[in-house]
Amino acid sequence: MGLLDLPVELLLQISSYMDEHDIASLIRTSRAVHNLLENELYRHHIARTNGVALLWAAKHGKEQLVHKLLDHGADIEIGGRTGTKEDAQSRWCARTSDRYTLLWVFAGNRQMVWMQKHRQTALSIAAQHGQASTVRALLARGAQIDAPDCRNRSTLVNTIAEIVDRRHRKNRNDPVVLSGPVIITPLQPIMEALLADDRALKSGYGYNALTYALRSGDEDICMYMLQEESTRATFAQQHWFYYLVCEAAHYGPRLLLPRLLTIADTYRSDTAAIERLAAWAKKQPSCICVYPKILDPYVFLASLEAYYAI
Amino acid sequence: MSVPTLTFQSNDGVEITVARDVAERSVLIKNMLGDLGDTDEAIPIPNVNEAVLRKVIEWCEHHKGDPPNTGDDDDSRRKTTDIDEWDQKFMQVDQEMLFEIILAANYLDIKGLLDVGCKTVANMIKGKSPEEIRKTFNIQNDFTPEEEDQIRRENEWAEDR
Repeated sequence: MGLLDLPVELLLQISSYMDEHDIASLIRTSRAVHNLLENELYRHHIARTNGVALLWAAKHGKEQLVHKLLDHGADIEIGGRTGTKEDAQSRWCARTSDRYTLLWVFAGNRQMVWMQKHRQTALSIAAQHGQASTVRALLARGAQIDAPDCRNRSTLVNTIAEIVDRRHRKNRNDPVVLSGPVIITPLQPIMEALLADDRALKSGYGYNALTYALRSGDEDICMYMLQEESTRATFAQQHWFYYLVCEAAHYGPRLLLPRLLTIADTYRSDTAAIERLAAWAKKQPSCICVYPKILDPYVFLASLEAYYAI
Repeated sequence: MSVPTLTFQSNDGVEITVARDVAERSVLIKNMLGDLGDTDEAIPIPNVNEAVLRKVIEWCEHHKGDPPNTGDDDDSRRKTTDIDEWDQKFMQVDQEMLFEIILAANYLDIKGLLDVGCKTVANMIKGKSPEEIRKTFNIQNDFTPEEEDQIRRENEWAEDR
């Protein structure tokens, strides 16, 4: 009579008294135990934390684990602003004296803690770490593409930030040097996956993403984002499009402003107003700091002219 | 008037007499008596041998005053693997006996004893490496080194660091 001769339901009951760490050790002992108790590990973890391990899986690109956790009911938005709050989970763990989860969250994974300061979702973390297949998997499972984090950055904006970082800095603390290669690897497939979805660009995140690159002086990324026909159309239809033109005029890149004006020509009927606004932004940069909630560029133009006429 | 008693017969044919309130710690026996009414005959317990049955009765005798389990305390039960001192001593038996007790508690439906048994096993696993667990329970490692490595990497997130 040994441990493995016990009926399955008793083994399950025994495992219900163990924490994840011990179950993880136990299922590594033999094939039979692994088959029997592997699901128990996920069930357990999710019951305790709603699936914080999803963030770990995203960071390390463990696609299989992502699927397994989601299959067992992990919260796909965990850690994000709309999902289960991870530190609330940790406090809960502390109350229930769950030492191991706490260790995992706070001491064991410093970088994860850093990211979680900003409340990034698994999707955002996977994108930032260049885990293309995990990004696609998460998107396919319905992860919210436009979930903002604490700094109001969506996945797309975080990806752009990471690309800018990788192109221009060897270390996080190095000064920005504007001479990186034009190819955006290995984050390119992620950008493609994100740009393929309209929602990634709408509600201002397209603007945030493009201006992030713009302000970092990286025109190549801006041009890259405007490569696709459908992306250009989506950009042109947004109410913030003319702010974008103003910013482009202000920061003065060579290629972006003409490209944006061509786009305006193709997709919009108010090109004249936008061109005049661009001229304003060039000579009067402070006008782009005025961020009116005005959707019509003509109205904005009129108010600008009235203001500077005084 | 003496205390009403019951007689059990273990699977190796030994008869043991128990006070009725002690025997009723077992939900199986309690329900059976409820269905059948009183009986003077020995009740056969087919899955349990004498040594194990005596251990089980010893536990029931010690715990006869405990409040009955409500059964829906799943959540609070899971948080702790604390075992009281008497139970810890009681469970200091060889593994064979420990598993037999767990099986008997499960068969006789004695929730308290089953919990203590399962917690004891969980505590035996607690904090051990896979290799130590294999040694403790004499489990054969049938993974190839590659498989073992793969599973280790898959479950890294759950590990103590």
